[in-house]
This record gives sequence, C-alpha cells and structure tokens, in this order.
Amino acid sequence: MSQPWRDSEGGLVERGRELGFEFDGRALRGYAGDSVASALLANGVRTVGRSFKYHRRRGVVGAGVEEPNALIRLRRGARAEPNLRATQVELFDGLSCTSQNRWPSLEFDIGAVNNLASRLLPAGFYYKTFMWPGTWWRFYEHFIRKAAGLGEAPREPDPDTYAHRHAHCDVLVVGGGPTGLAAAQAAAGGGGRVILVDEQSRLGGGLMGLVAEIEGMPALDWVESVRRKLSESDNVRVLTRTTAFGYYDQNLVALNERCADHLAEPSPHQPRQRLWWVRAKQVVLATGAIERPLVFGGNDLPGVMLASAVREYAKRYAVRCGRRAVVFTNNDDAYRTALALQRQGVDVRAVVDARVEGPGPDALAAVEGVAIEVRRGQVVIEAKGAKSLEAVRIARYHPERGAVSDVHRLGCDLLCMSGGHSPAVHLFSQSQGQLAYDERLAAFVPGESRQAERSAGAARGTWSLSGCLAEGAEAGAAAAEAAGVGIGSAPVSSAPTPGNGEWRENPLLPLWTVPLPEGHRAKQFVDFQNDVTADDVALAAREGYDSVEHLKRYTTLGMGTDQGRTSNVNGLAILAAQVGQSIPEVGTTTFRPPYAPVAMGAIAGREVGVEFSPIRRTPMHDWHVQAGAPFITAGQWLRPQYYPRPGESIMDSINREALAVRRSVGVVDVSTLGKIAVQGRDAGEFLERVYINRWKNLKVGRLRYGFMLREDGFIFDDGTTTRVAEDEYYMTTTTGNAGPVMTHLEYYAQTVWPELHVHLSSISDQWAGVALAGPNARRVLAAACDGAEVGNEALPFMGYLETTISGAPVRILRMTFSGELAYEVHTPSGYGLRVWEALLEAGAPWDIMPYGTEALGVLRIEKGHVVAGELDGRTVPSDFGFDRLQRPDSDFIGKRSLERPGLRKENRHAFVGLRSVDGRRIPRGAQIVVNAARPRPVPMLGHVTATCYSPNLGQHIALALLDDADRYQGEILYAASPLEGENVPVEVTHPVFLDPAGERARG
Amino acid sequence: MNDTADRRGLSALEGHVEPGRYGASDTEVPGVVLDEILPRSLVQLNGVSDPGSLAGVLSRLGIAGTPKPRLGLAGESGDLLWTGADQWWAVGREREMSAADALGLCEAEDATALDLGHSRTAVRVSGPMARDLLAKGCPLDVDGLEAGYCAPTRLGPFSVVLHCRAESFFDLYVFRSFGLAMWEWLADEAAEFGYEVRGSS
Repeated sequence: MSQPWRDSEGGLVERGRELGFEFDGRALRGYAGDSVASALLANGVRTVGRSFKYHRRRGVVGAGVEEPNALIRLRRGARAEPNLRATQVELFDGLSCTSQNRWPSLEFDIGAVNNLASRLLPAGFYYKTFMWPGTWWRFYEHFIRKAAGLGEAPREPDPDTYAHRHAHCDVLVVGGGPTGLAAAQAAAGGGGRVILVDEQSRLGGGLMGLVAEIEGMPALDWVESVRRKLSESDNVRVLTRTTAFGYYDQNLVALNERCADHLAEPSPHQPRQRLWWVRAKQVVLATGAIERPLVFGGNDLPGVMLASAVREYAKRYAVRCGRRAVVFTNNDDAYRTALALQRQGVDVRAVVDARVEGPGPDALAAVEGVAIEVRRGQVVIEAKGAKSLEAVRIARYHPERGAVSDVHRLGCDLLCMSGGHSPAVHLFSQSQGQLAYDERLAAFVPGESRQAERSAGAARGTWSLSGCLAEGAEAGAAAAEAAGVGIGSAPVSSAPTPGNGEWRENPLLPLWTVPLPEGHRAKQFVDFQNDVTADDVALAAREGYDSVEHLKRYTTLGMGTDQGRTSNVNGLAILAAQVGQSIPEVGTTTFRPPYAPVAMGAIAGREVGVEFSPIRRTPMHDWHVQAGAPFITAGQWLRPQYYPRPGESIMDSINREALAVRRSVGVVDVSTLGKIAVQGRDAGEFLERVYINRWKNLKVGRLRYGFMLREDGFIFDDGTTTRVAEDEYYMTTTTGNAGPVMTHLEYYAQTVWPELHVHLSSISDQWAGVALAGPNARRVLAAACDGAEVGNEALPFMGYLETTISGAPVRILRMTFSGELAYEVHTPSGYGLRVWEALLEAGAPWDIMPYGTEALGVLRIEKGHVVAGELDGRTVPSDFGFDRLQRPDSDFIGKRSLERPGLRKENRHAFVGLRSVDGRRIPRGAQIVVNAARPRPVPMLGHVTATCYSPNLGQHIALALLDDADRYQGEILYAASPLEGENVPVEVTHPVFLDPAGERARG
Repeated sequence: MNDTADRRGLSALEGHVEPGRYGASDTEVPGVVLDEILPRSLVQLNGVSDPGSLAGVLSRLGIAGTPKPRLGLAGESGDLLWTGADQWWAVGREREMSAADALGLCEAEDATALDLGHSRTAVRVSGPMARDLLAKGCPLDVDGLEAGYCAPTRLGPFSVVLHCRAESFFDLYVFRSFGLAMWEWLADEAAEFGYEVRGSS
C-alpha cells in the first residue's frame, strides 16, 4: 500500500498531486506539499541516517530547521548536495536522495562497530590518542580525514547560477508565523517599505501545527488573508523559502532565498538561489522557538521525536509517526501533541510528566476528556528497541535527590518528547544583543538590544497565541514608528478569538538529564548530530574544560551544520550542574552566522571561474585575440604573452620576438600602464614630496624617470612622469600598482597637504599605449606620424611630442624599457587599435613584429631594468644605484627612513647580473650561495629576481640581489633551488648585459 | 567624435553588441533594455566647490537647474553629473565640449579640466526590471532612487558612476577597460528578466 502511515484525509498536502521519489534507490510516493521527511514517514521509513561518530541508526526528530539527524544527499551528479535536512527539502516529482554516513548501506553499516567500541571512544579520544609519536600524524591523518565530516560534496562544477540582490527597507520582519504576520501587517500600515521573510514554502509557522481561530476564522484562513493583503501592497515584499541567516552591523541582514530548490532543476535563466543583503532601518525578529529534546537513555532511537514535530506531521502532513505513542514532557505544551495524536487515531498510551503536580487544569481536563492516562512525577529513563523504538522504561522521579525508582516498561513505537522551548535567539545574538536567562522558561531570551531591532512572540519567550499576535502587532507598529513610517499606534484587529485553546498552564520543570537507576548505563544524547552524550559533557568538565567555549571545542557539542539548535541549552545546563554554577554563569557559546547552512554557490554568486575577478581589456585586445596570442593576467588585465607562428615552440616565438626588437623593430601593447593626471599650481611641489626626484625643474615637453617610496623608505613604485603643461604632469605607474599609487597620492593630497593646489585623476583608461622599440623605431615612427618631425633634435631622449598618427591625436614619449631606441606612443583609447595598426603598417618595410610580455621580460632582463620582481617592498633606490636621483636638499616621503642603519650598511644587497656558467637555465627564485654542498645551514648571499634565456647573448642570464655584491663581481657562485633540485654555477656580472653605455637608446 | 557610426568605432564594445532579444522570454516586454550610449565628449572638472560657478557650462549644455552633490542634470545637448567632492562631469551628448571649453566656461578659480571622453564605457539600462537588475550589484537603495540621482558607486565588481535619468532609465559609466566585462555582467544578470539589446545610440 502506498503511504501506509498517511491519514486518509486532512493535512495541507495536495492529494491530487501524487509525486514519485527515491530514497536510497527505493521508489516511494508522496504528495505535493510534503517535505522529504514527511514523505519518508508517510511511507514508514524510520531509519534515515547513521550518526556521525557511532554510526547509530537515526530517525527524523524534528519537522524544520532544528532537525539534527535526517541529513540527506539530494539529487545526483553535479547537482548533488549533501547534508540537507530532509525536514526542509520540499518534495518534487522524480526527487532522488540518499542517506549519509553509512557504508555499504543504511541497514548494514560497517561503521557501526564504533558503537560497540564506544566505551573506548570518549570525548577527546582523537586528541588523546593521536598525539604521538608525532611523526605518525601523517599516517593517522589519512584515516581521520576520511572519518571526519558528514556528507560528500560533488566533484563536478555546479551547473546552476546564483544571484545576489541588495535591498533597503524601513522594517524587515523575520519569520512568517503569527507574530511575524501581525508585525508585518502593523508595520506596513503607514506605507513604509516592509520585507517579510520566512524560511518555509508557505507562511504560518507554528500555526500549521495548531488548532486555533484568529479573527473568527480558522488560523490558516487568517494566514491566507494576511498573505494576500501583504502581497497586494506595493510597499511590502514577501519572501518565502528564504532564510535570514546573518545579522551584521548597521542592520545589514543576509537572506538566502531558495528560488528553485523545490524544482527538479531551475527553469532556464532562473537562479537557483539568491543571496539578499537587506539594509533595514528597523528589524522585527519573530523567529519563533525551538523545542528541546529530553536527555535520557537511548533518546536517539528512531521513533523518539520532538512533540511539536509529531503534531506538525499530524496536522500539516496528515502523517502518523507511530501507532502506539507515549508523550514524555516537563511542560503543558506536549499535551497538545497527545490530543492531536488521539484525534488521528493513534493509541496514546500515556503522558509521562516529570512534574509531580502534572499539567495545568485545562490540559488535564482535555486529555482526561479523551481518556489519556497522565503519569505525574514520572520520567522515561530509557528508550528500547533493536532497530527502532519498541518500548520505554518509565520510573518515578525524585527531583530533590536526582534519582529514580520503580522502573517499569511500556510498549510503544513513538515517543514524543518535550523539554520545553528555547527562543530562536540566534539572529538577536548575532546582532550583538545580550541574552538573558529566564528562570521561569528555563531558556535564554533576548535581553538588551545593540542594534535597531526588537524580538517578539516566541522569539522572546511568549508562548500563547494571543500574546504572540499582540506582541507582533506592537513590535511591527513600534518598528514602523522608529523608522519614521508609523501610524501612531498598534492595530488591535489581529487579536485572536478568546477561548482559543489557550490554557492555564503549570510551570515547566527544568529537567536537563534524566537520572539512571544506580549501576545502570545508557547513552543519553545531548547533541544528536555530533554524538555527544551527557557523559561526554561530564567527562569534559572533569578534565577541566569548564568553559562553555572549551566544552564546545573539546566535545564538538553544538558544532556541524546543526550548530546546537536543539542541544545548546541542555548541554550547558549539564555543564553548569557539573561545575556547580548557575546556567547564566556558564553562559552560551557565541552564535555566529550562518543560522542555517548556506550553499557556497549562493555566497559566490556570479564571481566564479574566469569571472572571479572582472577582466580588463586593452583597446587592442581583439587584435591580440585574432593574432592567436595566449594571454596572461597582470592584475585584472589580460596581456598578450607572445604571438605564436605555425610550427614554433613557445621559446621559438619568444626568441624571435626579442631578436626582432634588437635587430629591427617591434611593438608591444603597454596600455595597461597606470596613468595619472597631476594638475594644479602646486603639481610640481606635490610630485617632489611623493617622489625622490626633482620635478619642478623639469621643462614642459620633457619626461623623467622617478622612484616613489613608502613611508618606511622602501620603493613603492617607479615610472616616468612627463610635464605636458606648466601646471600639468602626466604620470605613469607600473601596471599592477596603478590603483594603490592613486590611493596613496589621493590620501596625501586630501589629508596631509590639503593646502596644495593639486588635482589627481586616474586616466589609465583614457590613454592606450604602444611601445615602439628597435634600431628602426624612428624610421617607423616618422613613416607613421602625419608629418611631424621626430628626429633626435625635435624629439630627444626623454623628450615629449604631441602630434597625430592616422588622424588620431598622440602623445609620444621618448623613453626605453628594452634599452633600444624606443618611443611610447599614447593615444586616446578609442584610437588605440587605429594607432597600433598604423604603426604595424608603417613598420612593414622593416619587418616590424608585435611582441608580448615574454619578450618584453627578456629585453628588460638583458638591459637590467627593474620591475615588480625587484621592487618587492624590500629594496631601496641605493640597491640599484638610483640614489643619485635623490634630492639631498628637501624632504620627500620615506627620506628619513632611508637613514636607518640597516638600509645603509656597507654590505647591503645590491643589484647584479648572473650568467650561467655551464649553459643550464638559472632556476627561478634560486638562492645564491658560495657552495651548496656545504653542510646545512648554507649561508645565503641573495636571490634571483628574474631569469631568462637571452637570444641576443645566446646564454642563460638572470638578475639578482646579492649581499656584498662588489666583493663577488666576476666570481663564480651557485644559484641553488632546492625546490627544483637545481644547483647552477653562475658568474656575477654587471646587471646591464647589453649596451651598458646606453648608446642604443640615445642614438 | 562625430556621427554615431564613427563613435561606435571607438567603443570598447565594438563588435560585441548584437541587437536582439535574449534570456527569459516568458514576458511580452523584455524586463530590461540595454543600450550602449556614445557621448561626444566627457570633461571632468575638478576643484569646483561652488556649483554656482558652473552656470556657463550649464548654459552651454542647455541645462536648467541647480547642480548639487548626488545629482545629475540632463539638458538639451548634454548632462552635468556630480561625480565626487568638488568634481563634476560635463557630458556632451549632442554637442562636443572640449576640456578647454569647459574650463573657459567655468568660473571657479581653482578649477582644472580634463578630457575623459575615451576613459569610460557608458551603458543605458531601462525597462520595468531595470532597478531589479541594478540592485543585484549596487548596494545603494536602488529601489528608492529618485530621478536625477547621480553618484559614484559599485555595480557588482565594477566601480561605476550611476545616473538615474528617469523612473526606469539609468546611465552607467564604467572604466573603458572594464566596459566589455560590465556589459557581459549586465547581460548575464539580466537573463532571468529577459532583455533586449538595442545597440548603440
């Protein structure tokens, strides 16, 4: 029979839409509106997973986010997702899921031997056992890693997309139960912008498990009427299937909307999930409460469930969780479950109430009216059964001496437990609000708020429906008022009808652990998900872990996807008893986001793969693509690495390009250089303060190479700056440092020297740049320019010219990076491609060749020019002999730091060249040593900063920073790279391998 | 920069803008329309603390209104946008304005002007879901922005100047090198609403 545990009528499921699904390969049926958990229970599936440590059989305990046991792996292949709570996964046709933490099968799980050996596996077992011998850790680790963690993530890339969304509102209401609905309604009255979020697929919260009337109609009809009203209001946004999981500063609340998780797969173009960042003026937390389990022997056996969950399965899903039930409680609320079960036709064998006085008069009358036996002053000490619950052992409870007596047995297949409720204070706590312990409720409730939020209803310990509705309406109205969109007073229309199942209740009896009879042992679980027992907590306390934070880390209580939603208060109450403190003295662990697990995809959003960081393209990018160039990233830029020709190896291409520049002429795209316009009367003065060089004496139409230091004296950046007008300089920075340099300059201009008249603008994107280099560069430039004179007189070395090429305005800077006669031609970006092509066309008679970053690197190493590899934050100008540029007479950033003894010592490292002696490649990043064969530690004299094969010299060369460099000039040292297993003899040389006099550049 | 065809040739999106209807097609009207806009000029004026000194610039752009922070003013031939402290953009939509022109028209003593006409890619986002699209990446209160609002802000990973021209018309200016990346971002993020590319104007 299909769904044998389903009632023939009732519930909120759509009986007309029967759905097929699969659990561990077994085909089952459910209805639309079911959760996977309710559908499994309807099919009589009791064991749904194995526990983390002992691999014990576990069944469904809860009905919502609090579920610690029923974790499933949903879907197959790339869409598979582990550790989902079956209680929250909506059933869809064709759904496929599997149980976790078992091998080879749920029924026969080898890991269950852990349970037999459980006496050898107490809390802290791993810490105590795998400490020594220390060197064995690598061996242990292999097995421990396998055993650790729950669930298995898919290995394929996620095929779905995820979206982000920012939103602002006057009032954000978290929770769509009676309190939240009343709050949203009241908050929206004044026309303010209200967002109402609820994690479930439908609004109503706890009302889905209650029989009640509100405003003269059945509670769920009231929910529907409020939902309709809110949805039709322009100023209200209702988000269901949305979990508020993080509460951050300035009332920023993060929501995770599961847009398509209830579908087999998202519709085309639909994001699977959407992460909302909501900035709310006011927040109402109507997050409800979570029922606490009771801690007794075998309380993890399938068939032992939370009383409120059993009620929800009965009313919302029309599912019977058992045939013969016992209710075990320390409060009146669980009596409602007994009544709901009785109405369902379940044989309720007894309500076992730990309180000697039993329930209040209304609950008592209600159960006695349907002949349910109440056993006052008794407790369930142990649940018994082979695969699932078969009977409970009940005993008389003596709270004054913490003991039990008169043990007897009662057969049942369902035990509904209720240890009271804990307000869901997680978001409140994340908002930095202070929790207060309420003795009457035996629970932590929100205390003092730190942000613009207020809690209402069950979230602050108000259990009655009328109280929740009133508090919700009041909180909503007050929040709107505080946000400046109120209507003056709380509406009263949402008050419930009197006599609405609201009972006069007897107080709850705190019962943190049910005592066992003398000499009797049983596992009493506190944290189901992490297999932490009351004994583990006691052991931790005995071993000195007497802080709740230590307890958590030592025993794993409250960790995992569950984060102690059901175990937190029980655990710390047991600890408090052990260490002789009160519960508030022990306190709670800090609640941190996320409240419930969030898919990594939702957090990443669109920023995955190549979109991890946005791509910057130069104006000539498409040309490089057409030319078949592979690209390399430089910051966010993509730069062409080289331009391969058929039949060439990478090295062939690089060598060909580098040779072409030395022998004739080449062009390289240097649009990525940072460019900053420095304008204003004091531009020269400003530059003199941020650079080590002189600038005020630079003539208009000339450029200069400069070094900028950090405050600590180390080189920050280098580049040329051109004086393009009396009060305007055109600064270039290295590609990677453009942003930081701009920030650095703005900081000084705005906050340190506001008296200077200087304006800074990033113009990196305004100007494209092409470097034209090689002995024929001038001929090509002359051919390309629209008539301008570019000879040595008109455009000398470090000179500047404004003209046009193919009608495009250009700025020509005569400077060199390759060491050749060279020019940088800058043009407004829109003309970048036109100028690039014009230069290539003009250069055709000289076999002009485009070259990429690889050849660029070779050329600069041959010439001993520095880049980021040398300017690595540990070098100063004198390391490169550039201290001659320093102004001795006036101050500049970093000047005084250069006086530090460490930067001035005689044998401080200096820049040198290295030639490979035996023809081998000099390893990248190698350390320079006198003799690598010496016993360790080998003194290191310096390191290689750049290395290449020089096609122009026909040998492997490198640049390096070397201590006491003068002493080693001409000597043979070793470039040792333990990483690459290389040890190459090198000769120390001058860092400029080619044309040391610089005649080529000036020619 | 002359006619539209010439200006299109200078764009970072050249060859990447294909007019048509894309993404979700379950609505008759696309949720979003994306257009590249190609202003004739863009001049940045720095050091203008008194908006009153911009009267000459306003008059040249055909703008009636008083400039102030977080406001963009649209006129007959161009826009004047606030883009930061003492900083303004004169966008020559219909008529070109050079940096020298703008500086000549501005009466602020300490002002400097800079031609940034090639430094930005400009995209107009319109349509019934335009605000929803922008709110995916912009932390401002996009749903609540009033017409005329203009400010430098963030859109996803991009730094942009955002100008709300009208109820559902937004102009976005991004650094040119990020132009194509932002266009692709907008297209990807608009797919769930369905979008139309109208080309350049």
